[in-house]
Amino acid sequence: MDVKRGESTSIQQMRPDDIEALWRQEVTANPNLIAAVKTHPDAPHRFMIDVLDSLQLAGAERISLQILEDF
Amino acid sequence: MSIKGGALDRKSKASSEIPSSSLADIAFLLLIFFMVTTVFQNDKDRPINWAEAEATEKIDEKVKNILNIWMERDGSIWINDAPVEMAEVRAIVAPLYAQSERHLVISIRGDRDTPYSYMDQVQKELVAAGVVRVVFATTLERQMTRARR
Repeated sequence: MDVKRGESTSIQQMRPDDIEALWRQEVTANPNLIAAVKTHPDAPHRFMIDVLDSLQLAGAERISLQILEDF
Repeated sequence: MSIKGGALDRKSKASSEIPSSSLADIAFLLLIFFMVTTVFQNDKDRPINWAEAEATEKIDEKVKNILNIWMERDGSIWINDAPVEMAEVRAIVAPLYAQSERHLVISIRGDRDTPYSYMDQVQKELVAAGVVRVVFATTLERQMTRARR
């Protein structure tokens, strides 16, 4: 799973389980943070659920679901 | 001196029959009870492998206001026990949503291995139908399972 922050071009790879800690850390710095979940069209449904699950556990309230078009 | 017609002369006449006068009342009350409490399931479960999530929550809505959209691994869609084409989802859901006075919750019950492109398409259909309350149905994941993930 790739994580990209805002306008940054750098991409960080991590496991879905690690999102929870990352989100808590990032949302403290920016309470208006939105999690844009872009899922590959061929990715199994469970991958998206894993990410949403971690975000939910982290208390994320602003989540946007998108499809990854430029793959 | 004899006592005529007194209480001592009366013999107890206990009835050996079951009183049936209140039977109709009881049956009627039972009938009303079952009519009020019975909830009819709209559809049968499809054979899917559920996605698991630790943050699984029960939907806080009446069963009658929940519409299940089953999506199998090959992308086939089932609504109310009937197979549905992707292009038909909007036409089916929109009137039900209006009928429920916008209380309808769409529960997407997708197989854990369904490619996301199908999920994306059905979400677009729901957006076109004007639905705003959509949930992804999952089963409760245990901590041990999550640790192995």
